[in-house]
Amino acid sequence: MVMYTFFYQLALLGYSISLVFFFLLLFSPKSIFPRLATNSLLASFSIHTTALITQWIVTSHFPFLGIKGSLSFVAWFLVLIYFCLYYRFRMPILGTFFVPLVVALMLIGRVVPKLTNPPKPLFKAFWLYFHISTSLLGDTLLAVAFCAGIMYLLQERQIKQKKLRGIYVRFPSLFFLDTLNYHALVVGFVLLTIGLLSGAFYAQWVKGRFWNWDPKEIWSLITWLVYAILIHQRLMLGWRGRQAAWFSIIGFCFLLFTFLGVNYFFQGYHRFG
Amino acid sequence: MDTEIVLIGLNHKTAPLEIRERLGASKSVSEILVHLSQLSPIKEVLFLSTCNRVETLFTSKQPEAAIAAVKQFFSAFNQVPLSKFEHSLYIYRQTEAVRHLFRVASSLDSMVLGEPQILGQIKDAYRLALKHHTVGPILNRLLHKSFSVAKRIRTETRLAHHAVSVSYAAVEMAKKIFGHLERKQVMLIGAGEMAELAVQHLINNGVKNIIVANRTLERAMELARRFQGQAISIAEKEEYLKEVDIVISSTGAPHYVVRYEDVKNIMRKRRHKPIFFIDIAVPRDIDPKVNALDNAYVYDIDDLQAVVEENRLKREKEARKAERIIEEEVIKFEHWLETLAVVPTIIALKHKLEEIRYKELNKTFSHLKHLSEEDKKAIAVMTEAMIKKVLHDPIEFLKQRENREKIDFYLDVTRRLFNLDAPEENQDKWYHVKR
Repeated sequence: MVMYTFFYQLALLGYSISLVFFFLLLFSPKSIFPRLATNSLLASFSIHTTALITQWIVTSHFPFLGIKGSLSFVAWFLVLIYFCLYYRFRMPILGTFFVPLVVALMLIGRVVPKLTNPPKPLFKAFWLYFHISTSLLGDTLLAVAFCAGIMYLLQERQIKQKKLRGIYVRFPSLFFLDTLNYHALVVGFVLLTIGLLSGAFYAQWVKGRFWNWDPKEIWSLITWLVYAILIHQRLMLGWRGRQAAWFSIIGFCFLLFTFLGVNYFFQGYHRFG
Repeated sequence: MDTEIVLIGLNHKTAPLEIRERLGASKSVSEILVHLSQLSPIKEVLFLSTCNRVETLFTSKQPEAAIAAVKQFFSAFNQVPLSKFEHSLYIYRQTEAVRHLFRVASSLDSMVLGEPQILGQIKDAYRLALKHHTVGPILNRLLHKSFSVAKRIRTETRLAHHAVSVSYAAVEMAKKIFGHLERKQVMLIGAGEMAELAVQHLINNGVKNIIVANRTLERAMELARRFQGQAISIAEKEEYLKEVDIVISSTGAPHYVVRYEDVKNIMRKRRHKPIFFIDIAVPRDIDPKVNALDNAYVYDIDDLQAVVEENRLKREKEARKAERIIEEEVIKFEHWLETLAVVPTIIALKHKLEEIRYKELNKTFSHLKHLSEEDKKAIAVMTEAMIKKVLHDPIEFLKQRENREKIDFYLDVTRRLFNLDAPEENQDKWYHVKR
């Protein structure tokens, strides 16, 4: 077994443990669980980082090529965002919604069949790296918007039904969740756009055409359009709250399909192993 | 006879508002305090007057006479016959008084369990007493102790964590929606005690602008002046609904003052900015259907009451923990109080010096092996005599009749000079109240 594979497995184990703590802290927020959750997450994150660096050194390219690599990179970046938010707002409860996604991404990364195609010579250019990294960073931020949207909907339903009790007392305010959703959406959308454009330029450079009607390209464009509508409604019509939260969840479903589904349902040169 | 701590007073449970008002007129608190301190049987005194309680805490060597004097004073000063309020008075002595003060300071005796204002009010009363030099070593220590007990209860229990009045609950819900309330705009429609209280809580939490709409413009202007807001006529309220974030409604109108269509139409113009309606009126002012609109939230008095009820149950559970803490602290304070008598202090003083003498003698004798038994005896007698001589004047001083007036102070100083108390019993340093 390669060294970094071991680190990845260890990180996944760590994330799963911290997931348990993040779940427990919902029920006893004044206990030791918030600390345990954050500390175990930090430890797992360090292991994960070690894995990424080791793999980088061993394979001599940054490990976000291939479906497994990109899944683990998105998970890694999601945890990083959690720590940024934690540093600023001290809200461990966000982790209760982030970490399940992290564990899910890492698990999917482990079980997806490897569509083995060793990196092609195509894979050598700076533009390609740029295309992939901005797309993945954008995807991660839209995942944050998704989590904030779910929390918003749960909290809003409680407030509307006037049953503010139990775990919901600890939820952040609607304003906070909506603002988080909005900021993650805007930054994520900009990165996604840059990702799409740089991909088009790369295609122009390598294949001589900006647009190749590759399934991944088509679905990316659809996803981009969904988010573009949401951004438009938010900026122009002042959409916020429930509608915006629902829309960002729907957008994320499209994103997931583009990210994962397309590789297995369709053939195309974006299909990577 | 030893000094006793006595607390005499009445509160919202024992006396109706009109009596509390007449006995605790807030403007003359200083005057009352000074008068009380001049009553001859009273040594130290503190006077506390809030809207829910009027209490006098004092120490005296003739507690019976002092209690009668205080009663007489309140009757005469406020021109209320004693028979009118005597049955409302409670009188606590010694341990009971200590326990009562601790309970009041930690808000266990408040109308709203766990409300935070009372501690500040006691601190104010104490500051005033310091200013007029009406408190001495016993009340100083008792007050400091009550502050630290209140603090301990605040940190060790969750007594103050849940809103237990309708207006607090409203503020709490507003925070759930808006995060923070700074720079938020509030519109008050109508008037009423509870609505005004809610506005006051919102102001305390940083809201920016209060708009007061009322059927009579005059009343609106009066309220606007009080909240430093802006008065509008009731007809203008639709216009302002587009702007404000929180609406508190408390009118006597028999129909809805804010209808579903009104809110539905303004939401687009508001760009879906959230709006929170607090409906305190009975019958209701805000159409409950408004709650079904996105980004509009309606809480009526029953909804808020439900939040309060749930929180009250939580608080009562915490209150039991708090009572246990108070018992612990009362026992500690009792121990300290017992040491303040003259005889125990003299005994402790003798004991301490005797202990030193014994230790030093043993040290010396173990070095000087050549001393005969007789020599040793002579030296022991000599040191004993020295200590007697040294202690003679201080002990006489403590026993003297003419020092009786300030004996608590002298005892306290003696105990501290010679470090007669265990270290944790030394003067508390948690709160520094400026003189």
